[in-house]
Amino acid sequence: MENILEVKDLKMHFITKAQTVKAVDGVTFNIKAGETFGLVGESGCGKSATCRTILRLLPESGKVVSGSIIYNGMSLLDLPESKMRKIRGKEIGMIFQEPMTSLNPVLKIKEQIYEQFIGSDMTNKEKYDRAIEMLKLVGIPSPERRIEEYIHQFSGGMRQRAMIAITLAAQPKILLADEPTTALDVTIQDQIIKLINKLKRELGMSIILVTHDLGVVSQMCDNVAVMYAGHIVEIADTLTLFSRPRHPYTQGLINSLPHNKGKNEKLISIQGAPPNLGHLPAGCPFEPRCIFKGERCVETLPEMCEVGKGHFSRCHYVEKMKDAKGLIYVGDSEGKGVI
Amino acid sequence: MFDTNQDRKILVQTNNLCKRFLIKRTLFDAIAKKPVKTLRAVDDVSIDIYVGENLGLVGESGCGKSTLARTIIRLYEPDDGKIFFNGKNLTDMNKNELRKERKNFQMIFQDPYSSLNPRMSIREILEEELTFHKVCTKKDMDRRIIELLEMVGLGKDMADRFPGEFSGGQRQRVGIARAIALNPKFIIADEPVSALDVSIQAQIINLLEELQKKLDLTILFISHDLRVVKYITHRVAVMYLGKIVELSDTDELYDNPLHPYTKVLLKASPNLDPRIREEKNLIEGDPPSPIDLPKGCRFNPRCTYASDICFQQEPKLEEKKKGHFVACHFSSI
Repeated sequence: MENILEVKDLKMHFITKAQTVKAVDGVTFNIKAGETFGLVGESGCGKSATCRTILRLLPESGKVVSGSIIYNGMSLLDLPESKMRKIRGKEIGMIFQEPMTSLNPVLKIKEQIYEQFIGSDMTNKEKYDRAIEMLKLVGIPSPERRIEEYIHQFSGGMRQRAMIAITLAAQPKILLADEPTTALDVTIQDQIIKLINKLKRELGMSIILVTHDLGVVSQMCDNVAVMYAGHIVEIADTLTLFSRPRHPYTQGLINSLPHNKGKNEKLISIQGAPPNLGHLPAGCPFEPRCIFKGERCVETLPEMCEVGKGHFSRCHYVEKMKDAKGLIYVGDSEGKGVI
Repeated sequence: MFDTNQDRKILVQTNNLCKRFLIKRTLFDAIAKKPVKTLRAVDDVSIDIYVGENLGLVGESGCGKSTLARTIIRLYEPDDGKIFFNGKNLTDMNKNELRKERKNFQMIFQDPYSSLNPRMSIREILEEELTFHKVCTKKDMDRRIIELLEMVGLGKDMADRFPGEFSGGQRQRVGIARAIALNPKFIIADEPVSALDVSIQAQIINLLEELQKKLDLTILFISHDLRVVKYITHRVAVMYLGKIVELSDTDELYDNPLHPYTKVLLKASPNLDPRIREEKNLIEGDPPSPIDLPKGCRFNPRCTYASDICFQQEPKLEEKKKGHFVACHFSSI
């Protein structure tokens, strides 16, 4: 399948007088049509910044230092702003964590959906029908009534549905979903995960999912990139990443989950805290917290090396992790895939 | 280690505890003589918390978990019912008596950013409460503060820094140091790890477990993360719209949930095996508003098993098995 989006060696730094924060520092990945691609990591690792760079939604201080973003053969970073406006929203849509702050509180849902049709030659009747269709698609009951309402009249789950309807009304080819379920209760999260999966299949779009929750990744993504301090440290298909993690940080994340741990078993946490992106160490950014670290880690940033088909890890000592246990076991001696 | 089978001493007991909030009427509503509406945040909750246990309290947002916890320590005045702490009736205490009792129960908050005063150094934060409750002399103050910081895994050089200089995980450690400073018997941990990143979460969970054993604490652990609750608690109470719908030993609850709501909750945390993906929704709709509760069982609009009796009668919390309580007409399903 063809790549619909190619991000290559992208570096985006926030440059202020006081310091340079390397939020995205050399990120490379490709997305195929119809694929859900996960960007996982802790807060401040650069996953949201990557998304915003793709849409060129950056504050004044955010500067793309190097790299390229190719969408459908077009280089997004070189497009003039007028062309970019046609891509933003129409070709690449975005949904956010908190619908309450990302939707307009003084416009009816109807008006916010209609905004997506600006520039098209649809009649009012067509716009209305399309808007109703979208609300039905995302499972909002009695859409004829709800379409006249404001966002504060919706419950948490319904708000997220409304935001999805508004974004998808423009029929984007790629959907950037930034923590779309983080603010929701588990039962509602479950509904939204299934809704997005269903819509992806029906509308045939690609999704970039930004999240910190490995459970959400497992239920939605085809491929996953794990980010740490502005770098992608491991990239693989979801099953491989969960069964054979090959980067100490990914393993640390997986071990931190209180999953299938007995009462008296201690959780294996990652020591310390993520580094300050303003003063990154010269070598591997994970080195201070790593249990496998060696001499080379202090001085040189490891390159991405292929450890399996389509499975890359950014670590000098990948071979040390050959027998590392993942979250799930695939094809072990008993042949059981137990979780 | 807390043993769920031993004869257990009760530390905290609530009898038919109720907390209602009045909903403000507009002037027009008042003129139109519309009745004052109430939100029943905690509705007739009777629960025992045993010495040395870690009791989990789970449920969706708005179900009354935090209100129940705050009512137990009388941060909110209960509207009905009684609270006993260590045999003493908290409900009848006046302000002075309550203040003396307060050092026995402390709270850890969810948001380590808004729960620490940014203008006070860590030393001042800890000193304030040690002085207020007169549990530490001036002479011992330094030693005690360093001891507390070390207990929560912070160095003594941290004492004179301000909350703004710390990361989320470190702040939560300060919050924990503050909670244990008075040697309390009972700690309410209100979503203590929800605001933290996964790798930091594990550190804080380990710390809480360690401190519980070392200091013989009884913990009420409020969370919506069922994996964390399974790991850390001994018993779990599931709340839905102000009521406890199921209460049982943790392992029993996770292996054998009886209430349809608990079943849904347990299934709803996303499966960590990417090969198992279901397409059907577990549950439809949102929780109803706690202001206009449905008649009969509160869960009936979302329950797949609901039948006539569920719309007529509210089920009571009954012991269906030893130590396993559930409020459902059809709990055998």
